[in-house]
Amino acid sequence: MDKLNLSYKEAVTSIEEILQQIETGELDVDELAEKVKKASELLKLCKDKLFQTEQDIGKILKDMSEDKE
Amino acid sequence: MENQSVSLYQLLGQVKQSLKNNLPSSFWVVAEISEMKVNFSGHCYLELIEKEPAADSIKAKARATIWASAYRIIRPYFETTTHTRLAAGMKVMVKVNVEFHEVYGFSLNITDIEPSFTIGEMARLKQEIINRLIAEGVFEMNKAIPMPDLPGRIAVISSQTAAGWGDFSDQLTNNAFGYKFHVKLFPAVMQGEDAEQSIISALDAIFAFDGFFDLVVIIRGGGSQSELNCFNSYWLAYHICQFPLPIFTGIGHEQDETIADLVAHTRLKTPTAVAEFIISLFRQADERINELSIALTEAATDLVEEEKERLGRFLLHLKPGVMKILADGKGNLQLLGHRMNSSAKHLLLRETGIITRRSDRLNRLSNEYLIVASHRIAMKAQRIRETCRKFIESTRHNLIMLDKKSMYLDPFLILKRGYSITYYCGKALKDPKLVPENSEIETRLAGGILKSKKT
Repeated sequence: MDKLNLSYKEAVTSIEEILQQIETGELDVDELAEKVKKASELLKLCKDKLFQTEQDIGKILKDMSEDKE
Repeated sequence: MENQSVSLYQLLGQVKQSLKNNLPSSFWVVAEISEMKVNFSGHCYLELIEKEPAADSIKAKARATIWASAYRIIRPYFETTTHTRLAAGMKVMVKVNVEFHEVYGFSLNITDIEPSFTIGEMARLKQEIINRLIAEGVFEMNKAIPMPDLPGRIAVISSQTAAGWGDFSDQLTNNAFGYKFHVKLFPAVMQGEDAEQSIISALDAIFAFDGFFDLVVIIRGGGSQSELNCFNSYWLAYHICQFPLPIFTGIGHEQDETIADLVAHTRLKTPTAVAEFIISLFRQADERINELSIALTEAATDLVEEEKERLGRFLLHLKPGVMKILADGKGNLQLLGHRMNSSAKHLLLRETGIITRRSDRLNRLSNEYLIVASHRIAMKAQRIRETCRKFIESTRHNLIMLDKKSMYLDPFLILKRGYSITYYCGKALKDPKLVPENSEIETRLAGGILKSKKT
């Protein structure tokens, strides 16, 4: 899914947009649950980026070293 | 004229003598070091040159020496003042004695050095490089890259053995917040003549993994303060400027910034400071995420509360409205009921009248019709009886007449009157020619049958 490829900046921007929509009352209650769900997913994505839970990075770095040798 | 000659030794002795007589004992000379070598006993041998500025060709050249006794004093003095080692390519102002030796020839004996000249020269050179980078429009290029939000994948250019690298790596790995950094070392020589090319090669190696890393860090921990000249190199600066990733420097020095520092995206003093800065970027991002999380929860809760209130207000207005509508409805229904009742009665009355009138008329008409019809039937019955009677009468008359007629036609009566019937072969004979000769025929008479033969 494209959500996974979202950068931290894009994710934060999306969250800020949702927040603004809620604060300015652009959003109605019907959409609220869906948007809040999306925002919390994005927040989790951001947190994941902080702690870089992606496993493959370590492997790539390891491969780099092996290429060199 | 007779040729007068002197020995080589005598000649060179005169040269030596005339130099000594005609020149002051020492000069301050400005020159560029083109070669430099220190031998095992601590004597320093150099070659000094002066170039034609425009053509870059050498217009003067001389050997020079710094004897070990002087070099022991000159070298630290120069290095602590300029933070640079004496090296080839450097412009210096030195105090020299002009020496001439019959065997070793012309040379300059360096007895003193003016480091401030070299500092000025280096500053000028540095400024020239800066000006060139600005003129080429690359000076601000690396700085123009936005600050990375979460530079978690870090390519480090450093010497593997440098203390700075170890500190940097440890600090990131063991950060108090548990952030995960992926740090990859691209080893390079960080001092001396080879450093420039080595660091550029490391940048090229990082560039080959384009898109993987978020950030490049150039760090140099420990090492001599006088080994920074490579970071003032034009080509290194040129590469740093145009590198597509932000470059952070932590070269670890206290005095003036190097050109590498000036063109780098972010300049920090030490490797530790670089690590702290990167962690602080994560910390900011973390805090921002937490803020957003809280703000989101509050905003959503507020929205729900607002909607609840709104619904409450609706309900408040709704109740009297509904009551009124119900009351109105009830009144209307009663009214309607009354109206329905009376109009139904009225309708029934009217319809009953119509039906009664119609039934009376029907009664009357059917009676009249019955009377007329029974009269007609009686008439018809009379006529039928009459006709039957006449028919029977005429039939009876006809029968009598027929009876009379049949009496005249009775064959027996006819035979009695003398007629006879002849039969041949059982059939009544009407032509005598039909009977062959000698055939028997029968003749029926009133009194009986007469048999005869035709003759």
